[in-house]
Amino acid sequence: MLPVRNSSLVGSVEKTPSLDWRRILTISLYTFLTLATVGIVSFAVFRPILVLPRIRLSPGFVMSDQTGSPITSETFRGQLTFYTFSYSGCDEASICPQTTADIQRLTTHLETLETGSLDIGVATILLNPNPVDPADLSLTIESDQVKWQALQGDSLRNKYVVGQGFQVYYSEEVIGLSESDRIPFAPRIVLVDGLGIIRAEYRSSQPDLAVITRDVELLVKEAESSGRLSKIGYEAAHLFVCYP
Amino acid sequence: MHIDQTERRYIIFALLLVGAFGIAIAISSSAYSINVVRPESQIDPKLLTTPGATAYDGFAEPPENRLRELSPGRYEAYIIGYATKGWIWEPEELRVPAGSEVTFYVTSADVTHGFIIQNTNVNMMVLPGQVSKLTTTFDTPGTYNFICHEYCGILHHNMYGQLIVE
Repeated sequence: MLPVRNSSLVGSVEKTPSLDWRRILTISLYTFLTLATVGIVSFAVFRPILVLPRIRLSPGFVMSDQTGSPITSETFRGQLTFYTFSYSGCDEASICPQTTADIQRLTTHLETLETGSLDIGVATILLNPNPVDPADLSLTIESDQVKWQALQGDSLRNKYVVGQGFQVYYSEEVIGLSESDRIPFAPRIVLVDGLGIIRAEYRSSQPDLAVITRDVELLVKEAESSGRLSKIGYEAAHLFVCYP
Repeated sequence: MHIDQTERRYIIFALLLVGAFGIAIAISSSAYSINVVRPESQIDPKLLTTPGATAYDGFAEPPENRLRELSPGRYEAYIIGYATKGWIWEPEELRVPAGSEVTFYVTSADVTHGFIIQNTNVNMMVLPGQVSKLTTTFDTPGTYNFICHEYCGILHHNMYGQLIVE
């Protein structure tokens, strides 16, 4: 007959309850992993913070502006800049992909947006093969609140800045009698943030203004939420592709 | 709940692997700006070749002009897959100098295709209504075949083109 094992028979001997650390650690680990997974998935699915993607760095450049003064990409640091592309004499919509009127439409819309302390500007890179004399420049944008600047450089510099940097195609083979008659190019508007990072590309000369408004508001909100804690949230949004 | 020791080890190993992959993705995404492949954009397949009708004007160029030089050594190529034109890629041949970086914009005008360039990391699904985009550099001269690797019809096996690096 087997002996009966019954602790109650032991009598009045009391054991001090000892903590099972291994079990506690295991439960803690699984709890942490579960919460982390649920948190990450929820963040990615519900997208509580929306950001514009950081597409790539905007190219650095030295060019001259509409007055003939030198201007560099650093001039645009700290402000939102919409880069547009055109050429002097690009006025007729029938032959020109992005006319002065298109750029004026964008600029006029930007005037209506609330950007807080963040400045906003428009820069038009001229694709003319040779720099145009400022006195002969037939491209002017009128605006009281949005700073507009025309940028121009020599042919090779233009090709590297526009083609390689902004990845905008344009042909160096000018069609027409004079050099500014027609320059085929892909209409494009590029939004660059204050850190010099390309945040949006609009493959149209007349993008949806509601989308422009949304994108500017997102960038303004991100710039205003640069505190330590909220910055972590925004970095997480970039990591989990919380793009609109 | 009892879990066998061997099973427990495999569960822990699997969780560690998931964690390691998560860390690798986080590092590559934040430090090296490497993103997972995702659709570039949407496009109306009926208007692909209509000038000014879509945001991707390169598709509206004649096939011989769909390889465009952005800057010296940098190109963009707009390629359309057709089953309805006899299972072809348009353009069927591209030529670039050695060392060129080429960005491919690929879409389909009709059915689902696959686009792979042999001996490169270019490998995309090509859906009608969607533009797929990938960039790669061709350092070694030679002929690189690009083929359809998703069954798209009776002459699927004929659907190929060539990128010649000179």
